[in-house]
Amino acid sequence: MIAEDHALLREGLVALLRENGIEVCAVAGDGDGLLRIVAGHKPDLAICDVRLPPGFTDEGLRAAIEARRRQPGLAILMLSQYVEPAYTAELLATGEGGVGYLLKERVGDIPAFLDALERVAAGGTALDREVVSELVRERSAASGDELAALTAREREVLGLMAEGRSNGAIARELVVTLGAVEKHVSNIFGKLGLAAGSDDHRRVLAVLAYLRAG
Amino acid sequence: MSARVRRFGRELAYLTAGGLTSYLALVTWTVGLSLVAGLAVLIIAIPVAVTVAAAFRWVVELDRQNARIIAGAPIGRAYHRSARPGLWPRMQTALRDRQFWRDLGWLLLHSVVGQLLAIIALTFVATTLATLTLPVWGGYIPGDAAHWGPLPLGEARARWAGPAVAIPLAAITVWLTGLMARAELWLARWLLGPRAAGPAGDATPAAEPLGAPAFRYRPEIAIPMHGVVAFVVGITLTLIWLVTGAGRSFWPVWPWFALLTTIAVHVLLVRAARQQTGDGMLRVLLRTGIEFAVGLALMLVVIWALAGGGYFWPVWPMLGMAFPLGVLALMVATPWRDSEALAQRVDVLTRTRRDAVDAQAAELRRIERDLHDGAQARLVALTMKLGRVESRLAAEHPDEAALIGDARADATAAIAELRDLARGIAPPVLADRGLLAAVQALAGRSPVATEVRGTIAGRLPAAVENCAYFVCAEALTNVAKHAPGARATVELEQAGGELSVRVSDDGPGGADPDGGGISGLSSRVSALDGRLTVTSTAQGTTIDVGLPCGS
Repeated sequence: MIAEDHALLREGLVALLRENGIEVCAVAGDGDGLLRIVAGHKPDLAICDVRLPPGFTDEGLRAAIEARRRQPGLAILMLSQYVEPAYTAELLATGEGGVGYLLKERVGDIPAFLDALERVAAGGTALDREVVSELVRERSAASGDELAALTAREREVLGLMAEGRSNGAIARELVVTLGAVEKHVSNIFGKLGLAAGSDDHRRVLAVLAYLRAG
Repeated sequence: MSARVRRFGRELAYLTAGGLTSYLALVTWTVGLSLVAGLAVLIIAIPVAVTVAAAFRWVVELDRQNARIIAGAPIGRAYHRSARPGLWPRMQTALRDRQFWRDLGWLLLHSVVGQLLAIIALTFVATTLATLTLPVWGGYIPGDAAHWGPLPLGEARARWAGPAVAIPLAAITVWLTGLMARAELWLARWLLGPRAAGPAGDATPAAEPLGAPAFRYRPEIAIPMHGVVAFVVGITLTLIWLVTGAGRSFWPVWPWFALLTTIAVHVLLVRAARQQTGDGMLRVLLRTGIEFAVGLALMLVVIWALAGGGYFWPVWPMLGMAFPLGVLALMVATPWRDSEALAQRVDVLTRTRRDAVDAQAAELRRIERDLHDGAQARLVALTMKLGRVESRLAAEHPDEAALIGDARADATAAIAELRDLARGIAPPVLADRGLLAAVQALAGRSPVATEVRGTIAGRLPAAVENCAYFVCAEALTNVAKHAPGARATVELEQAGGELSVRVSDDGPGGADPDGGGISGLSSRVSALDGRLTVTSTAQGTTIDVGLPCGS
């Protein structure tokens, strides 16, 4: 389902998803609508704008968090024109289930958008590049020594991990072999002192927890 | 060279115009003061005084315009306006207005000085021209004895001495004209220009003083000397009267009266020069007036007694003096409502400024919302459509798809720029989550390691939040720019109706309080009646801001 109050964007999203074989079961224009539809239709994934009526501040985020509380494991992808690390933190704190936070303009890059949708629907994470780079910036400003110990390539891999990509996706993105990526990943976890997680989602959470701890 | 000539022309014109206005000034003050003094014993003196004050203002305005148009140095004006209509309030306001007394001073001075300077300048110019053209007209002076000093004007050769003299004379003329014009302009600025009274400080335009006076005038010596001289003169004249057959009419009364008046004027000037306020001027006038009246009354009684008594004629002059003094005393005794009018005006200004600042804060947030809902949303829709076209073309027309992909990248860049713009105008997180959250986000984005501490309960007025946010933004930008390796701390505290924002770093210091960024902050802060202090030492810099946020 889609919760978006701006008609132009809503229609555009619906058309885009339908063209790519994703069924949109319902649309909502505000937070209450979101909660009703989630309870009624039980969609696989809810795409939600952070800013919704009536207050146009963060009603969408509040509604999404509430929806996840009522229906644990609900996959939610937040769309916003602004990236605020504070909102990201709140979203990630809501527990299990797929979580995503993307800038609205990412929707134009259709292959990447669909990839993110699939990741979130499958229970993984999709964080916008901007969010991740802000987190990294914050962390290196707070205590830059640890991150400075990573090589440039390792920092790239760290960023892509934080976005929620799988090793395979990272390998495709950086045009290297899967083995090289796995080696980088274990180096990173070793240098930063993180426990290597088994699945991607936990790994992302570990990396993000590290980045936010700064 | 020609610029210098043009400037000389302007200075000469200024002095000449000043000479003309000085005639007008002479007429104005002699007529004005005579009218007021002559009619002082009658009630009609009050409207006459108001008219005279207005006439002074009008004449003095000519000199301001002279300065503005010819000398190119505008002089502002600041007159008190009477809060209430009616002649009595207007006279009170006029006499209490310092500018009125400065106008009078200018008229008195200028009527002498203006003419003098103009005549000197014009004479020099005329003489220069005359000597320069001496070869032409010198031969026409009749008489073989026509001489210019030791030079016989009949001889052509001798006449060439004229231009020889004219050249240094021209240089002196130009220099002297400049000097005199600057002096007159300085005097005009000093007397006619506005001064701000009160806590805002003195707003006198920074005119360079022409140098220390050659001697120091000390009233404690001058006035007694004046008194002694006057007494001696008076006694001398009285003795002359005695000697030349005393008895008929005591004519020395007139010189005695004149001498007493000059002493009174002298004392009045000295006391007036010490006054800061219009109210003080009135009191000085009253006090000196009473002393003068008492002295005069005594003098008259002595004369009456010496003249043999009889009909007590001094009662009439005494009554005559009592009337204007009574009027003055009444004015001094009335607590003047000017301060009330001023307080009202301050109230209105404070209220309207607060409204303007609040309106601006609301407007900025509205602009950000409009940007978000309008331009940014359209651009996002555009990128979506372009993306869909791109994926449709990708298979069969990869070149076209690449082109569309470029277009989409451009649109995405535009969205990012709009986002940064909107953040600079009215950061959304500030409007949505409040000051503390916004400053934390700010600290996170900054390349400087920043710690944010704060205790703020609830939301504050939008204007206050905006101002505090931009203070932090500017301060952190400064730290990043000038002390990149330092650590910064931001403390936000709300206590006692004031929001206190303190940004400190441990950098090398050296912040310039007059630098562009900080002075911009200071105008934001003072628009909200806040305070801003910048302390910068080698241990670090601290910017301390306090903003009133009501209860």
